[in-house]
Amino acid sequence: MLQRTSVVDSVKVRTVSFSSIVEIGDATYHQAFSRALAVQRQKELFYGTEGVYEDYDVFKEPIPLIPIIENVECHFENVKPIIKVHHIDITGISSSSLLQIGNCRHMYTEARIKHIRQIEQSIATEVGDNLIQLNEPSQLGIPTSESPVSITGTDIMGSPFSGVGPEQEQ
Amino acid sequence: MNFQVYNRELQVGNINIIGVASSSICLVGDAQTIQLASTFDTPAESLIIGPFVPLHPKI
Repeated sequence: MLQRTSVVDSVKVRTVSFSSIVEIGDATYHQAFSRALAVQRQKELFYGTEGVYEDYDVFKEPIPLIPIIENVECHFENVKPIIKVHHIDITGISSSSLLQIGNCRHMYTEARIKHIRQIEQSIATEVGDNLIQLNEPSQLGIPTSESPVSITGTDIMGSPFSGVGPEQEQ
Repeated sequence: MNFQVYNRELQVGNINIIGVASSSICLVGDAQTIQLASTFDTPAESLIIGPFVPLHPKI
């Protein structure tokens, strides 16, 4: 295992950014981690020091890795121990990503991303760390015609799905 | 369980990728274990409608 040789005639990569790697050759371990808090505001506004990863669940929730209990007997026969690629063209490698030409024994990477959109509206109710609008969709000034989608996701009383049971279907 | 692999000829012409991002991997070669994990949160849950305030106001 891991005996094959990778042969790439030419590689073209335009951008390698944010802790990304281009590796030519073999490795034993590769471990990468990236976090991103992407905020889009209606107004051009940035306070500079804001944003704490720990405030959001996506950056805290554990990622369960189910252990492999089954015993697997692996046997590899490299009839032709060569992997040939003529040309690789990549525009961008970003955020702890990897381009490797060669073998790697163990690889583990993790990415945690949160997107936030901030839209201006004078009436708001504070809920936790976020300022979430809790008004009816009609109060938002967006033309809606009995939209079945609840903005907050908390009120399901008027949901078209409530009261629909399997016994009613037949 | 038995897992038998015969690696015969592997030849690729061109690989054209626009982006490898967010802890992704593009590997030309062999690996024993690969584990990639990703969590993502995007609107509507994280849509904020209200006055523009810092995400985490510091005193």
